[in-house]
Amino acid sequence: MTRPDLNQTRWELLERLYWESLERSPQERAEYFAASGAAPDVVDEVNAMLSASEAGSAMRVERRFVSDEGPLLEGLAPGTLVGPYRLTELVGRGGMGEVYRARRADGELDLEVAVKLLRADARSDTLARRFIAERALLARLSHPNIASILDAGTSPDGRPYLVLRYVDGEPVTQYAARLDLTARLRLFLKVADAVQFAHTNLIIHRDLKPSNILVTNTGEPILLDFGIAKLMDDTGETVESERLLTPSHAAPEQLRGEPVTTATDVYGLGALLFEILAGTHPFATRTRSRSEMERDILDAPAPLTSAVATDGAMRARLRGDLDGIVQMALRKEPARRYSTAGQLAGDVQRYLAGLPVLARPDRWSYRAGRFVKRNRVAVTAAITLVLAMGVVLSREVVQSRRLLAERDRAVAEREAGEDVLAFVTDLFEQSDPRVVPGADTLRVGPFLTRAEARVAELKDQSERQMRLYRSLGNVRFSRGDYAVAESLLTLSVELGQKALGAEHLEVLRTRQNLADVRVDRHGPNAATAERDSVLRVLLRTVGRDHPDVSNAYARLSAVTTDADRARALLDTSIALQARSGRVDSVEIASMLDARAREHGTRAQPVQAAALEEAALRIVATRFPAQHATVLTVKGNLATWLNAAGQWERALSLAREVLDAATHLTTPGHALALAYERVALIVVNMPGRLALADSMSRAALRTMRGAVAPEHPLISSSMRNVAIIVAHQGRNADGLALLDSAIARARVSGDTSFWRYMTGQRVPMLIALGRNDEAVRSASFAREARAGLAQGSDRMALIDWHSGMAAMASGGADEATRLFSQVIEVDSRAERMTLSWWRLMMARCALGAALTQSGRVIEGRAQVEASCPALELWGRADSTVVAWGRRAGTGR
Amino acid sequence: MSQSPRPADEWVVTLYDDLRTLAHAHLRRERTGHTLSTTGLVNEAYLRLAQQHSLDGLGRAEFFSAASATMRRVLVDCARTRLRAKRGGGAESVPLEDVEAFLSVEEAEEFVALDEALERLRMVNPRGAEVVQCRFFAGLTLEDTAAALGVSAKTVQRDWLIARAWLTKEVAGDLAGFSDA
Repeated sequence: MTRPDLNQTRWELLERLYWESLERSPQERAEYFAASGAAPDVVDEVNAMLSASEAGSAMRVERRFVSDEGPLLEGLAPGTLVGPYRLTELVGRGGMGEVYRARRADGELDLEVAVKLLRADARSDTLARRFIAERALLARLSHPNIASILDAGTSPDGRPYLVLRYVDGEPVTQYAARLDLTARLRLFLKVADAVQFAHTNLIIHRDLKPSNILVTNTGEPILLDFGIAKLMDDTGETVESERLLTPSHAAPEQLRGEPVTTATDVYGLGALLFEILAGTHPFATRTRSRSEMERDILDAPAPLTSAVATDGAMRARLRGDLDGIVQMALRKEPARRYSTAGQLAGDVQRYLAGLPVLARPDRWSYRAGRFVKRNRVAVTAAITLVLAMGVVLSREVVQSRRLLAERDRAVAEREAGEDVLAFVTDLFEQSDPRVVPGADTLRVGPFLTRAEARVAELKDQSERQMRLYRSLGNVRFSRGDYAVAESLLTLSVELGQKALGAEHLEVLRTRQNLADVRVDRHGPNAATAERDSVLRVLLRTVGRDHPDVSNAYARLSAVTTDADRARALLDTSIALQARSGRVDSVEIASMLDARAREHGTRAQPVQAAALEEAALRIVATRFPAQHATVLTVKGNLATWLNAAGQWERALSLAREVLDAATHLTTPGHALALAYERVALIVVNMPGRLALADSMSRAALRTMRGAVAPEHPLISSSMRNVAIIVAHQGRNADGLALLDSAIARARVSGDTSFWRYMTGQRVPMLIALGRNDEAVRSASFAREARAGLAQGSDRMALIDWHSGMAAMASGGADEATRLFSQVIEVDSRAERMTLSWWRLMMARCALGAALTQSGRVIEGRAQVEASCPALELWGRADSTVVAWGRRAGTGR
Repeated sequence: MSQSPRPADEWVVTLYDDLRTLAHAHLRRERTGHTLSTTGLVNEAYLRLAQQHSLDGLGRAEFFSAASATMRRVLVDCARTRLRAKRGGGAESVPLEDVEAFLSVEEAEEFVALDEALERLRMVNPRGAEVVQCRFFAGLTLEDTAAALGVSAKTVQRDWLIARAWLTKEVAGDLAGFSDA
């Protein structure tokens, strides 16, 4: 044999054919080569190259000399930074990529996580698409028993990565082997609940097997690897690559290449239950080859768990109901299995409760029929709701159609009343955009009104009423219907307290929801006491380690005005959360957001912006772009960027938020904040005062329609308009407006706030020549200083106003002292544009004060270093610029 | 190489350490016990390098590029020595007993085949050949290779994948009895 001559042309051809065929199946390759018209020896050569690629390291010397991590899959070294995560070690490799253990390295949250990186050699778009699909699927799932996605991004070498909760545990079957029957079943129920939750979110796992379910040392099973999970869509069609399946755990329809539905996961759960109970896979015992196993999965009836289990006492307990449940889940025809994971779980629960199970093959329809007869009223009411909801949603939530169809089928099969209720509750929540990303809430309003009326009719069923009111209240809240939300949630709390007791977890959760509404409707102070009380009850009843407790700390922190106390509460929350290992991306994002706010109030806008940016990245992977949460975080980011002087970027983000907010059905609050944010950004930019003016007025107008009149946002919004009016030289108008804002703030009872606002009168009063009044306002504002954090932004502003008042009334020495204090704070702040301008203002004012008290040389130096820049900026306080000019020219 | 010249002995120290690291990387998987001494390998590589380049002002990237070429020569020489020893050869630059412990006959055959295939590849895909040389003979990671060659890691990855596929195929073909055309 001779080797074909390698020249440039041939090499280029080889290269093209190689890359084009690398990700194709052998069949597709053959077709592709035929179509390419390449010569047979070229095709042979490419095929040989492809086999060399696929064989791993074929050369001895390669195995020996090229990096330990294997030649194709380049592992990243421990210590490598991927986003904010520092890799600790490589823990696994799969078809799609590598999984590393890692920790957050930015010191903000001490969390252990798993970072999953797309394979470095996954050049093909197919794998990358699948990877991104997993990311999108996981983003919908936040459940304690699902290893949910925490973050995502792109690594330094350009590979997409996912950050997942790190699960250190053992396979569920191994763990279960040490448990008694009841404990095994309870463990299984948690898994089934996680699967049901995924189904509710329109996701089918498709690869449930023991190695994908790990149990942590606290006994919590965690469902992993949604790598081949599928989003239910309208068509139910999906490109399923057979290689990716685990054949021994596949359902018959998967082997037959038929559509995959929720029943496929029911089969997977059935096989898992079999394995948990009997200690072995249903088709593992007598199978030798893969093809034999496939034949058995397709045709052979599954053995009875009681026949396979080795323990005699266990066998006796498995006989009967449990055998029946497993058999029903493992039926060959998907349509004859339980139609949902929830039904399967329901039967296991009934078994545990000593109730008759539904899964007696021959008597199934008879039992179900009887059940429905007993619960006719509830079932009818629930079905009506399902149908009503279906009509509304099918137009609005396109993605949900398929699931709805499956649910309708379940309803048609006359399911148990409880299950229908669960469905209805789920359906309610599907119109909640926070639960189902992308669920458009348009036209849901009339439906909600009807649903509320229906729920009111469910008398004598206070528990159901309670849950339904809570769901409806939360939907109303997310739509901005604060008043209705508040009354529904109040009703739910009252019902719950009667039915379940005041300290029941569900009641406490509803009280937290109610507090959320009150914060937005009446301001943070309206919720502080409520949140404090819920936290106390939780600590007493469920203990510190319960997940609701860390959450309650964070919520209380968010409504606590005392900065140090808020910080301490947040620290406790984060510590509890990190210690528990229970983390959820939205909670992480909200912690980052809270941390950002904390840096923001401490005049550290750059750090705040970095944290908020991290939070935005997380929520952006979790929710659609128009989602309220994304908009909130984006808006906050714009606020920090503005404070950091990055006006252009801040403005473009703020405009995005504003655009999105104008499209909300009941925009209210969110829209008002969006207008206000734009106003507060452009007011710093030269020549944009007219825009600032109209934006701030729009904010005030919208705010008035959205929140209760006593809400502090109304007074602060009026104050903003006042200041912008004054900036345009209309000081008298500005002052009048400011005074009515102050009057409102006074009513709301936040003394510190209205004292501070009084200080903002000072520049206007000086411009109007009312210097004595300015001095009085300034000293009144100074009373608020005591409660503020040293070096805080607000404290610097109070000093600034006092200094201006002192300067205007001839107290140059006092002014010198105060301006120096301001300069100290502002120079300690990050040297970003806005604080730089403020620093320049303070230096200019200080220069004027020094000059006036006779320290002319020092004073002029300060003025010369600041005043020309301020004149260029054009947005400095005109009084200050005038002082600077006078001091500079000696006039 | 326009940096200000540095004292030659400082370079010697730096290069020596770098090469030593390099050699350790190569021999990491060495069967324990009597092996070709890494110090010997480093000395060998350094002497070859010093004959070819003035080391003043030589940057790390250039050094690695040059070192990988040097190491390739070292290893291929070892391999040829091993094969000659098998046939009963003459005087060698590397102690024979070290080479025997270091390379099996099969590995030596692969090295020689790889070396020749690499030259053929260089004619049509010089950058791919350079990538393989850095990866194989200097034990560089993708990132280091990218830095040494001044291209992106992605480019290196791509070059590496196809060059490796082609070379593996060539070497397999040679060992299975292709004759040179």
